[in-house]
Amino acid sequence: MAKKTAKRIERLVLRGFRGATTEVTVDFDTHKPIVMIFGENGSGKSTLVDALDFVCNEEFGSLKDRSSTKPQKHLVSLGSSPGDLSVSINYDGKDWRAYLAKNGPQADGPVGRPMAHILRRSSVLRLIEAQPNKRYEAIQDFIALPQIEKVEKALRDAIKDVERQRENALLARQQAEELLQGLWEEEGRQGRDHMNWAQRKADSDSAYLKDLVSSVNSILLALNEAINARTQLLGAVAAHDHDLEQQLLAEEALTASENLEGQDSRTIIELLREARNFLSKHPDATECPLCDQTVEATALGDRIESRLSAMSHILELKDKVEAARNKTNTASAFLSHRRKEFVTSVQKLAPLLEESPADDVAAIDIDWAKYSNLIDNTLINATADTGSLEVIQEALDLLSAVERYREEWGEYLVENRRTLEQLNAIRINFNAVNERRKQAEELDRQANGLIEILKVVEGQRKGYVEDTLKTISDSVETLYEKLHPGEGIGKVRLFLKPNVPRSMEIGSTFQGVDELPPGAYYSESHLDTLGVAIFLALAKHYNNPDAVVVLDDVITSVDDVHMERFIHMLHEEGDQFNQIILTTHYRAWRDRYKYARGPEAAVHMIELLSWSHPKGVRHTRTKLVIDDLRHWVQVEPLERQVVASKCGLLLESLLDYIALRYRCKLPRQPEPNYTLGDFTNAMDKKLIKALKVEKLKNNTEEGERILESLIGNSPRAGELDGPHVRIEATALQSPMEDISKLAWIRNQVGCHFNLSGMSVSDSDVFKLAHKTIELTEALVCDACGELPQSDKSGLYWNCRCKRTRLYPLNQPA
Amino acid sequence: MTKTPDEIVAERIVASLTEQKLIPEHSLKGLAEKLIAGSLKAEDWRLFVDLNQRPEGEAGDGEENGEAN
Repeated sequence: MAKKTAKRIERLVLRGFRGATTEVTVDFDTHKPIVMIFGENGSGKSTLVDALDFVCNEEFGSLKDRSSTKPQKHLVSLGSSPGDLSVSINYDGKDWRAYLAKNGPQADGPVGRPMAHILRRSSVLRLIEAQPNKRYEAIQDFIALPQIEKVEKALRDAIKDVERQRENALLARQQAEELLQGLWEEEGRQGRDHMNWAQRKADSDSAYLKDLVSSVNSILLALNEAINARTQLLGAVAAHDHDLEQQLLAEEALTASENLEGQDSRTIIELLREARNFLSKHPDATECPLCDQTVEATALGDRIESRLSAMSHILELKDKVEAARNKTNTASAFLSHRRKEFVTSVQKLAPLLEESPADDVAAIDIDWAKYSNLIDNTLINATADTGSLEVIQEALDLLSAVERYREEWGEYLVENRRTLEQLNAIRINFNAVNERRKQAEELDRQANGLIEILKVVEGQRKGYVEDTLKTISDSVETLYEKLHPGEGIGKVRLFLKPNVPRSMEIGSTFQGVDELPPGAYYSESHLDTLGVAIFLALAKHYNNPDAVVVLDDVITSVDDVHMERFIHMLHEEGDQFNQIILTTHYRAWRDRYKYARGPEAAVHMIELLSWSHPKGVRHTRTKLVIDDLRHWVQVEPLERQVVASKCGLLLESLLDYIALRYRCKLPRQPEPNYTLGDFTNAMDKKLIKALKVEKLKNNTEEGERILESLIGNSPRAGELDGPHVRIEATALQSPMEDISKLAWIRNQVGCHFNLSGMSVSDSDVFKLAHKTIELTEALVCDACGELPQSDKSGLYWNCRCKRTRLYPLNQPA
Repeated sequence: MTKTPDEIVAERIVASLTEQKLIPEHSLKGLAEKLIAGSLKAEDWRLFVDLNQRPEGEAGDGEENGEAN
């Protein structure tokens, strides 16, 4: 049964992770392909599954799907810190440890870390009942092409860019054409159409018009400059005249004052100033340095000051005259500069007028000969005397003669400039129309090229996904047919929703009608099994050498028949995977293994105990009922009630199994709650006599190979008759008859308080227990741990591994 | 070593683009690796088409090695 070569998770250790408030170590039996973790709600099943997701996939597990939680925060168990959190596994002899890094879960370890394909109850619902995009999300880990989708998006972006640029080019072209249309209409719709007109205009030579505009523009600028220079000159003349007048007035005032004070007043003032300077240097002088007469210095000083004070207004007048002369000189120099500036500006104007190509300028009435002092024939007369009043007058006359055309030329310039600008606008827009059209055509070609590539990329991506979904659909159908044969459901088809990215639809058959959404028609248990079938099909398709499958509480409730089929399918498919780890709170599922209704030898059964904060997640090994009975039989002193009770439970299970196989007659009642007495009475004597079990055992290694090959194959003729395999046969008549006789002990000792029960000896209880164990060991396959339940051989009932056969196939007539 | 879905589809895309001559021959080298890495940008795709639609002999300096930036 077990794939001995399969890589399996051997140990899982949780520290500070979710419900694991204390360290939890779970050891898995690597000889068994399936691990079943049973636990009531809240016992820690999801904690263990999330831990596998954390270490194997570096994911946050079920917390990722809960929008109200922050995974980083709530992943840490109560009372622990993020630094305490870690999950470790040992897989195929190698160790990995995952912890909570800044960016999320991170696992350290060697290459070859296992991947965990995890299906949760929420994923089942999403897979079946959610909107197509959510459904796609539920399986995107299996079918998504993240890198191809990324480059496909870049390709779509490129197409959008190109199309946007093309639209812009077309818009610009349209605007340019509309502008040309408007100009064409303004110009009286000349020619065939606006583009034909525009082309002619664009092709026309605009050099003459440019020269003309340039010439008139230069003339007007020079004319304005000359007018401005004239204004400046007249201002300078007025300023000079004013300053000269002020100078004359100052000089007159000085002369008048000097006449009044005497002709020598200027000399006397200078002499008095010299004497004052002498006395300031020689305050103690007693003699005059000129005449040697005795003087009194202080009194002399006072007299000098008094005389100078009396003559001070002459000094002031002298200063004013000096200042007025300076100012007049400055004004004179400035006037000279203005004259030159003016004459030069008029000289510049002249050749512009003479050389202008503009007809309007050439037509002006000017007798150039009158301005010979100012202008020679061709060039500015560099030797013209700008100080000469004759030259200045010529300049003033010439300017006056030209000035009257200024307004006329201004209008001429505006009109021609407008014509030139219009021509330029026509040329620019005509070129724009052509360039934008070419650009749009180029972009159109580019867009088409990109679209062709997109068809390839999208086609290949969709083709791959659809082919994959088709393959998976076929696989789902096969699995689902095993679960629901002949029920009128199935034909499951997974397909991408047309024209909607990342969306997946599911179609199915219900009562002969195809393509129905299963969520709308199927029962809850049918949806559960459909979800599991899809998931297993996906996991099979994408199975890799380092993957394990985890089913987290995906089955809620199914009836006996479907549970049996489900278990059968699971064990058949189990061989496709390294390891299946499943959790459930569904007790009936677990008990099927406990009572040998499933191949318990292939299942490592773990039972979670009730969770509490101080104790955290705790677990123990699930005991089979037969193992439990074997245990209590060994306990001293004998626990009579316990042993008798456990015998009763086990016997009821075994006899129910036999009654079902042989359709034994039992009293009809609303609920099938039959007692041990009902079962023993239902067993016909002929049947009891005919009951026989054969067990195939290997004598050699070759024998084991032969027995292993029985799974999925019928034994070849003679293969089981050779020396490598032996058949051990056990008739069940003896234990069955003994059990019929001893069955009353269960009620007397194991179920009720009564005095007669007290008289039953321990040896009778022991006898019941041993017969029960004997019958169980005879019926249950030693290899797969299952009761023979398949009648496909047509000769006997077979267990899953086909090593145990129960005879007869039918109740003897 | 099993190929990833991205690798499988990348190979198919390159084969199809080659067959349909939608990308210049010299740009096909290394294209599969870029598809698998998801590293092709919008401008890379435009360059491929631009190069493919240009008449022969018009390729510029930067295009001789066929590498998209």
